[in-house]
Amino acid sequence: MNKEYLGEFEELVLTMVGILQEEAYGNAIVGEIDQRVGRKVNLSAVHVTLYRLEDKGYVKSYMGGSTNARGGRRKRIFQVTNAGLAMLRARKEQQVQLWKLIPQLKMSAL
Amino acid sequence: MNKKPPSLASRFLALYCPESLIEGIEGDLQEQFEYDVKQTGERAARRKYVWNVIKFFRPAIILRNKFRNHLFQQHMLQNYFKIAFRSLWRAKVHSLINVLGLSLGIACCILISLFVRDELTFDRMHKNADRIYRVYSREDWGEKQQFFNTVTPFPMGPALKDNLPEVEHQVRVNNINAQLKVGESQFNETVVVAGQDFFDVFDFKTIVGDRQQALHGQSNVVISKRMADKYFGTADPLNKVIAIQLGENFEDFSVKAVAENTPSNSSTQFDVLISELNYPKLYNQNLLTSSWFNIIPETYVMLKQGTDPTAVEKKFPSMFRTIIGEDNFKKSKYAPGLQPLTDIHLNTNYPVGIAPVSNPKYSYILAAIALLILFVACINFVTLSVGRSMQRAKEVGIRKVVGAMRVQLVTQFIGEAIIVSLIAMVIGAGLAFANLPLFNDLAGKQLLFPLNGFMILIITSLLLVIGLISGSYPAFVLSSFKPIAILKGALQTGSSKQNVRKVLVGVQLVLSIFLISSTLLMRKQLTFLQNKNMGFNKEQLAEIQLNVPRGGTLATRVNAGFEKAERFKTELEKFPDILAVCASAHDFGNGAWTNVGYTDDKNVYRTFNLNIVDDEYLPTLKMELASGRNFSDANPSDKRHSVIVNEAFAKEYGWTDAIGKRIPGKNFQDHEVIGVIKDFNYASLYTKVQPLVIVEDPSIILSGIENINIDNSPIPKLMVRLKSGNMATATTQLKEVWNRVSGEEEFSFAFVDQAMAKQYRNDQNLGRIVSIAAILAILIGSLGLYALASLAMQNRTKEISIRKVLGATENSLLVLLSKEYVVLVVVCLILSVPATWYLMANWLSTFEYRVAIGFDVFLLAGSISLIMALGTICFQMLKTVWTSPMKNLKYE
Repeated sequence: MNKEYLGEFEELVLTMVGILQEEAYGNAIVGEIDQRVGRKVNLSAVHVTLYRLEDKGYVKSYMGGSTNARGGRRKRIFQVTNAGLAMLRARKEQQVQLWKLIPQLKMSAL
Repeated sequence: MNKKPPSLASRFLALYCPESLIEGIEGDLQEQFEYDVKQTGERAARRKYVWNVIKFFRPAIILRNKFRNHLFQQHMLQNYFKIAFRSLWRAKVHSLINVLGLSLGIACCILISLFVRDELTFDRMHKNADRIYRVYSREDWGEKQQFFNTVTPFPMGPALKDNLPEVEHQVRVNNINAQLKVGESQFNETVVVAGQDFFDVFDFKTIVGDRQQALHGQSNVVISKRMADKYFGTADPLNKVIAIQLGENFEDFSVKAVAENTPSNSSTQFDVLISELNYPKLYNQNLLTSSWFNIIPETYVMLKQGTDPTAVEKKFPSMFRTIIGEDNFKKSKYAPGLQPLTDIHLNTNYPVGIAPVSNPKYSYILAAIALLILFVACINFVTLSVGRSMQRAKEVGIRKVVGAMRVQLVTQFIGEAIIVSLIAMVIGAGLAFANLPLFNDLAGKQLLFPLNGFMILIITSLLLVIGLISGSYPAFVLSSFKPIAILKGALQTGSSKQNVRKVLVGVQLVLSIFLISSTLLMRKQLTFLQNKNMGFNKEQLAEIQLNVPRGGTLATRVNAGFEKAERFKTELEKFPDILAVCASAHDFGNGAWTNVGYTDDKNVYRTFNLNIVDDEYLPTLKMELASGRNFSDANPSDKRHSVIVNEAFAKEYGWTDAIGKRIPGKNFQDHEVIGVIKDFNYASLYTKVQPLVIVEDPSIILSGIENINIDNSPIPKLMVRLKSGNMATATTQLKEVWNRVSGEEEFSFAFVDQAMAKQYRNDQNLGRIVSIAAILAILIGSLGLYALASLAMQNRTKEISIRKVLGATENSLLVLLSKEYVVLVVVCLILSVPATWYLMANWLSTFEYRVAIGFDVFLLAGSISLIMALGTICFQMLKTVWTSPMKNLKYE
């Protein structure tokens, strides 16, 4: 598989990591996706995707500070890397390019 | 915050989740749980928690980091390679033995896998192979009159096609022998007559010409590439004329297509192919349209996509009841059926039709032999590696001290095994390639050495299997050493390891003895076949096929043949090197003689074989009469009145004095038995001599029979007894006479002893393959034994030296050292006897005439292995025994 390849769900999760910044961890991302795109996603799926993105080098992670919530466990916070950002940008441009190629429908044609 | 998630689920999570991830995941789950408790209550939250934990149980989580072994770093690999080559180089002899043994095993495996593949892929090259069926015919008239055949009546194919919508195509195929004329030259060829849909059913490829239309014209002919080269050389064969003798006259056919030579793994083989539109010229109308009990061609049907053959077969009874009539149907219990095309080649439960059938046993035996040899070679590898483990022990110790993990060591040693097998593979593939012609000859195949996916699959799987099998035991033994023990020098060769090696060598020996004794037995049986007194003298006896024009009944053609034979006889009698000439409807080594069946006066159905000869037959073949006399020209009534039977015949009918008796069938013409001939083997030695009747005029018998089974053309053959010592001149004289009498016709000439030997070709080849396997097994096994002995001697050097110092003689030392090997050979001999006995008795049971399995064979096999074993180790022993003890002891 091409290393540069980014799946649809991977792209969504990567974008959310970018949006959430310091608060980008598993649950928050699930919530954010629900809120912004209205899609119920699985926590485990998000985790797996995050690890895969990490393998690909688009995000990196560190453990956040401990709180009393979560039974004292720390959050694993994810951060978009430069490569990830470049990837997101490239995807956006690609999509815009492609969109431009579609003959725009005119109302009269309908 | 006092609600806790289910602890069982948490524990499960902790069990499978990698440590690095657990905190983040558990935290997230806990957070979700706390949120859910507020939202939906504790019960629902707990349920959801459990469900979430289960959802996390997935490969991406469980296996994360497990497969990312950072220990495989490039420099370590480099080091492994370097060490592997160094250690191989250091023990040159051992490496050579390993590589040599393995490559022999690999070569055998490659060749035999090619063979087995060829056998298993028979007829699978047609893309519709799974829809093609051969029709078989089955009749049961009661009273030993059961007929089961894979050839069918002519009307079978068309009837199936017309009455059953499931049948997409039907093709009838049969072979005829015919004279061919191309320009001025004349050839004797097997012509295949096939249905017009032949190329719709079978995917034989054509090189030029229109394959779809090729068989839709009466005077079209399709020839193979081989024949195109033979007849026309480099010229374009399309539309060239070939004359084929179908009736009395030659008919012109024009070449409409040239087909690729039929693949060797195809049941249907053709060189010259013409359309069934020519049937009316070959057979009478009645036979072609309404004769349901004469079986000649093979009928193939192609069913429509998705048709269940058993459903089609279920329609047969009602269909045949109407076609052949209620009465016939009841009497004959007519029950044809369908046999899948791909089943034909290896299913020996069906009688042989036109397509050859081979026994799958042959494939199994060969595969077993290949695996045995490979196994013996692998054992060598294991014994040698374990034997050399002492030398490698220090390396293992140091590696462990420096921090190598056991997995690394195992990988290293398995890797070394794979390197060795890789080298062996290259040599083995080369050996296989070089020996393919020899193997083809042995196996009777035309196999090619393909560089395709199959070959790559075989090679890689062999590589992995050998590497893993032969590498894993040494790898685990070596890596289990305790570093402290090694480095302190306290490590001793455990006697258990010695025993493991001895067991392995024992297994090799058992296999070698098994193969040697099998070889000896097979050789004994094959020589027996060659030298068995057949009841006639088959030396310097030649058989020559006569050609008689087609057309007219078989009887007139047979007569025409005998007339032609008379012309030859008068011509040939002039030569002093030709001792005797006779004519006979059947010759030797070319399949079954005509078999007839009749119901005798006590209403018992009986069968016997029939041969038509002239009065010179008995003296020419040097057969002996048990009683009575031969046919004689001086006695004119012999021609119309007399028959000779063999002893088996007389015995079956319980005749003590057969002379003057009559064969007890109502409708036979008036006749009497004038002589009883001593039994001679006119078929092969696989079967007993069957009752036989010899006549000069077949009509005596033919008038009274109910069934006749003609497998081989009864057109007469000349049998010529040549003077020994002058074979070459005699054969040229024969050829000259032939040209004078028969003109351009092809001269087909064979010696009877050779033709008869051909019947045992498969068994002779099997014998040769087993003896080659035996030689290889002994060779590889002795290599292993040699290496084993050299290691054992090294370990005992000091013991021997001390014994010498204390006054042991060289002889006593040799006895001491060789004792355990002798015991080993004897034990192995005893172990191998039952297996050999069982398998060989099985093989011998296929022969009606066979040798007995005696202990002499096993003794001989045992002594051969013992001599081989002692010969192999004696060099090592002598070296140890002869070395001055001072050399070995002075450093102590």
